Amino acid sequence: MLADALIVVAKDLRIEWRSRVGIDQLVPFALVVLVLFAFALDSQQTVLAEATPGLLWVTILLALVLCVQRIFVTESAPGLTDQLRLSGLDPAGIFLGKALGVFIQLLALEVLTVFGAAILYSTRFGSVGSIALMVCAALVASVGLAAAGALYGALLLGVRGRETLLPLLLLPVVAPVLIGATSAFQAALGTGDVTSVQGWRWVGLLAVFAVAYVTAGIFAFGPLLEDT
Amino acid sequence: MEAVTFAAVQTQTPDFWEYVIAGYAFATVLIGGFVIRLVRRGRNLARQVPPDKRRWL
Amino acid sequence: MTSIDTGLRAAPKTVDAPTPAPIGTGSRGSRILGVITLALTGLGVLYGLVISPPDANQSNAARLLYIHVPSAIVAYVAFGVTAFASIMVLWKKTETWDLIAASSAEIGIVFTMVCLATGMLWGRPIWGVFWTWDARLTTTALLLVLFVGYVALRRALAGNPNRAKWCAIAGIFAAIDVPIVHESTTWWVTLHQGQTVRLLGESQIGGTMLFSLLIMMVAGMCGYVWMLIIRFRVAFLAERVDETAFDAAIAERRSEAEKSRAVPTIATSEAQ
Repeated sequence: MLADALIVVAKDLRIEWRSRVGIDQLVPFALVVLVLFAFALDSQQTVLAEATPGLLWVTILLALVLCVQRIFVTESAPGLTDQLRLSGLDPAGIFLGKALGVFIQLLALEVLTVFGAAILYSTRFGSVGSIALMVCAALVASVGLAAAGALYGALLLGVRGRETLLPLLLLPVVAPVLIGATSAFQAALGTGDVTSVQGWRWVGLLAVFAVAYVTAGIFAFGPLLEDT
Repeated sequence: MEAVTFAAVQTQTPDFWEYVIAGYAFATVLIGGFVIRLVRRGRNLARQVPPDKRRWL
Repeated sequence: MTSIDTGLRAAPKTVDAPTPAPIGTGSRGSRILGVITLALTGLGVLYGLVISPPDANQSNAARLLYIHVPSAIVAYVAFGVTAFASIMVLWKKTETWDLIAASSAEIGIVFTMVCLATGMLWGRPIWGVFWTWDARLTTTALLLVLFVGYVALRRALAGNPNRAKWCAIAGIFAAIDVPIVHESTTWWVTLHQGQTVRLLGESQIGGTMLFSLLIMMVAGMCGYVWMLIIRFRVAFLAERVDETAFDAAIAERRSEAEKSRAVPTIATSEAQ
C-alpha cells in the first residue's frame, strides 16, 4: 500500500515538476490572494496583523481547490481511470499517493504564504514554543486538507461541471480545518484571545479531522474507483 | 391626556407580530411550494409510466 | 372524418377506465397520513398563533419557536436518515436505499431553510440581530451547505451508472463532518465568547405552550414521513421514465439498424 502510494506520488510530482504549473501559476495565485486581502482590508496594517491567521488559511483553502483540480487533471482524460484501476495498484495506495502529492504542494505553499505574510502583513513571530505550535498545526491541518481534497477530487473524476462542484463540496467539509488552524495560528501569533494551551487543543481537533478523512479515504477509494 | 399617554405606551411595547407572521408565511410558502411542486411532478411522471410499474404499497 | 376524430378522442378513456392504477403518487396510506398531517398542522397553528399565551419575556416572538424547533428536529432526522440510507446503499446496493437517501436530503434542506429563517426572525427581536455566530446556528448553516452540495452532486451525476455509490460515499463523508463541525464551532464560540444564548430565556415553558410545541413536532414528523413517501415515489417514477426513454431509444436504433440491414440482404438475394 505504501509502496504503491510512493509510485503514485512520484509520478504526480514528476508531472507537476515538468509542467511547472505549480510554480508558474499556483504560487503567484497565492501571493495575489494575499495582496488582494491587503487591498480589501487596510493599508494601515492594524487590521491585517489581527486578521493574518484567518487570511493565511483562506488563501490555503483556495489554493487547495486548485491543487486538487491540478493533481486529478492528469487522471481525468477518458479511460485513464480504467487504466489506473487496471494498473494493479492498491486503491488505498493510490489514495495515499494522491493525498501525499496534495500535502507536499500545500506544505510548500504554506511556507511561502507565511513568508509572504511576514513581509506583506509584517507578522511578528513569537517564541520557539509558538513556532512549534504553528508548524504542528500546519502539518496536521495539511494532512486533513490533503485527505479530504484527494477524496473529493477522486469522487468528481469525470463528473460534469466538476470545476464548480469541487469548491461547493470541499470547502464546507474543510470548514472545521479553517476554524481549527486559524485558532491555532492565533494562539501562536498572539493575535486573538486564544491561549497557547487552547492552541494545542485545536491541533488535537485538526488531528481528529485528519484521522477521520485519511481512514475514510483508505476504505472508500476501492469502491470509488471500481465500476459497477 | 393620561389616556393618550397610556395608549402610546401600550403601542410602544413590542408584540413582534410582524416577525411571527413573516415566519409562518415563509414556512407556509416554502413547504407548501415544495409539496405542490412534488405532487405536480409526481402526476406528470406517473402519466409517462405504464400502470403496472406504479403499484404503491 | 368526424367519426375517426371522436374515436381517437374516446380511445384513451376506454383504455384507462378498467385500470385502477393510481393517477399520481398518492396511495390510501399516504392520503390518510396527509390528512392527519394537515389536521395536526392546522391544530398546531391554531394553538401556536391563537390559543397559547404570549411568553412573559419574548411576547409573541415565542410563537416562532413552534415552527423553529420542530423544523430543526425534522431537518436533523432527515439528514440522519440520509446518512443511514447512504450506508445501506454501500451495504445492500439497492435502488430503494439510494432513492431514500436522495429524497430525505432534499426534504432536510427544505426544513433546514425553514429552521434558519424562523430562527433569524426570532433572533432579530429577541437578540437584536438576525444572525449571531452561535455554535448551533453555525453548525446548522454548514449542514445546509453540505447537503446542498450533496444534492448538487446527485444532479450532476444524473444518468451515471455509478451515481448511487458515489452519492452514498459523498453522503457518508458529509455525515462524518457533522460532529467535527459541531465540536469546532462550539469551541470556537466559547473561545471568542459571543452572546450567551438561552433558547427559551428565563421563563418556564407552560402547559399550553408545551402542548403547542408537541403538536407541531408530531405534525412535523408526520409531514416528513409523508413527504418522504411522495418524494420517494417521484424519484422512483423518474427512474422508470429514464429507463423507458432509454429502452425506447435503444428500440428505435435497433429498428433503424434492422431497416438498414434489410435493404442489403434483399439486394444480395436478388443478385443471386
